[in-house]
Amino acid sequence: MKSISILATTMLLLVGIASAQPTGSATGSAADTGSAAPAAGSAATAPAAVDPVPAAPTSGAIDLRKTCVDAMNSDPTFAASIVETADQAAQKKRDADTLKAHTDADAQIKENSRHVVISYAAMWIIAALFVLFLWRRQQLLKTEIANLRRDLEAAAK
Amino acid sequence: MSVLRQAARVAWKDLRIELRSREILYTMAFFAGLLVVVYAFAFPRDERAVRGAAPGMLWVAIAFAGTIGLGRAFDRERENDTMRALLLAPVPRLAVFLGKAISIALLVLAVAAVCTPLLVLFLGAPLFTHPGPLVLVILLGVIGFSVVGSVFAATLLKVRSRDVLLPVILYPLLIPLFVAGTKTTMALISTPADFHAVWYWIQFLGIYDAVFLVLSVWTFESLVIE
Amino acid sequence: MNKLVVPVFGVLAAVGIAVAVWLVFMQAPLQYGFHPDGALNGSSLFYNQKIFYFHVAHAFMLFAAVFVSGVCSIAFLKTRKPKWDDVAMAATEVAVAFGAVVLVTGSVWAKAAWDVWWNWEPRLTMSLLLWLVLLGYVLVRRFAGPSADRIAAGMAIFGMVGVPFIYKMVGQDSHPAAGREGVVATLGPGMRAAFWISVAAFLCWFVALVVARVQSARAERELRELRERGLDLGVLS
Repeated sequence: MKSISILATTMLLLVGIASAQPTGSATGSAADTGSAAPAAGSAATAPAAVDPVPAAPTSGAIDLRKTCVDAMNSDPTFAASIVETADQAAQKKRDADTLKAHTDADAQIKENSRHVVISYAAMWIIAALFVLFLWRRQQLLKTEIANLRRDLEAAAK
Repeated sequence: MSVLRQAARVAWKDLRIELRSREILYTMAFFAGLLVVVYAFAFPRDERAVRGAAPGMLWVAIAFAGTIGLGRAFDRERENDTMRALLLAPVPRLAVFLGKAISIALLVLAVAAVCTPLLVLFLGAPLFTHPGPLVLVILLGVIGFSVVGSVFAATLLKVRSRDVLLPVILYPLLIPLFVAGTKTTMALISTPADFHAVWYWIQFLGIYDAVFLVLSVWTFESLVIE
Repeated sequence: MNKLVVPVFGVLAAVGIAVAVWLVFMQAPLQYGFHPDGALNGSSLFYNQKIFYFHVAHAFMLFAAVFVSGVCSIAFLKTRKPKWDDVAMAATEVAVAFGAVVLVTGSVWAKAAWDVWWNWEPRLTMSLLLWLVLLGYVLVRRFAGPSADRIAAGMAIFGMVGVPFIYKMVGQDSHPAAGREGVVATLGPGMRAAFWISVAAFLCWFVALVVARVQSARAERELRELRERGLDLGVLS
């Protein structure tokens, strides 16, 4: 429910941005992020996209952007290094995830003894009840047999 | 062959008594019909739900009505202690047992013949899409039920609490039979009918009947004789 | 039966169970596995798998009891000697207790593995159906009066013969995702010893309980005879 409402607000926000700003990259990002499930991701990008709105694309910003794109295009290793940096970051995140998975599994091994305790308790309780039942029954029978024997012997005399 | 003829004689004796009073037949059939009416109120009646539940309804009706019939049929032998006479009769005990099982099976079949059309009529269960295999399955199930049922109903003859003990004994032992019957019926009325499953369960029922028939024949005498 | 049987098997069982507990909790490795891509296997149960050693051992005893009870009932019907009947009854009653353990631990296992208390897993279903037959047997013994021994014997025999049918029925009906094929066969080396020792220990425990129950049945018989004698002598009324 909550994630749906987040998604809906994000969509509204993005649609608003797209309609308010007919040109530029915002429309593209709306189509990219708004279509899929990751509401959190698009929610995170949404404020970033909102911020520039009041600042409005001045001609200076457009120039700056153009300079950047040109610099990237002129140097072939620059794009590669961006990809490499991104890869390294992703690897770092994967490592962290693996570590977390291991830590979680470790915690599960160490802490999750509830089921074992329940089943062992049940096992011993049932066994104890059965033994108690057997023992009591045997004792009752023994005393009754002894009483009867005594009475019979007394009667036989 | 003479054993079979003697068995038929015993069965015919039972059926003749029954045809005179029609007590068991009427009460069983009424009970099964009542069950169907209760089903109609107790379960949802939309087409999907009925399709899923109808096989179970059919076999539960057979099991319940069959148990009542079994108890009553053997009560009749108890009232004048005619079971003793039957067992003392100069025929193999096998014939007595088979005769009893045959007469019970015919009664239960009659009940199934009443309650299957009622299920179709009242609940719209699509049971008649493949009538041939359905009849075969009901026949096999009823044979297994009456064979095992006759053995235990006969042993319970002198027991005071036989009415409660009969289902207590029979149902756990007969669960595979009823499950197989339900599964076959379910496979038959699914669209399209799953004849692979039908064939598997019919084989299952056939082997079940054969094994328990042999076992019952083998143990009947020592179970019934004091 | 010798008076020593119960103590001897009881001691064996106690030692065996102690060793089994030590092996299971101190020695046997935790159970987990990985998919080819490195992710944790869905059937990894870690600590929870320790239920298995005792659960399956009890289940083995349940099946053994059904078999023992059926065979002894056949012997009873053939010979009409009460000693066979006593053994059949004792085995069944003990098996009811063991079956209760199987069902409870199995249910907890289902909770640990699939997060539901009961999911009609084939083997668990089979244990339940067998357990119902055994319960019916106990009820018959209790409420069927003087002919209870015969009727119960019949039930034990029919129940034993029905086991393969229950197996086939449940197997055909099973949900493939829930199946744990050949768990016992695929146990790791450290687990195998712990498992078989616990099976042996619970076998001793089972034998001790059955023999104790047989002795109590003997005592009952003796009591009945004494009562009859008492009635004859006029001591009892």
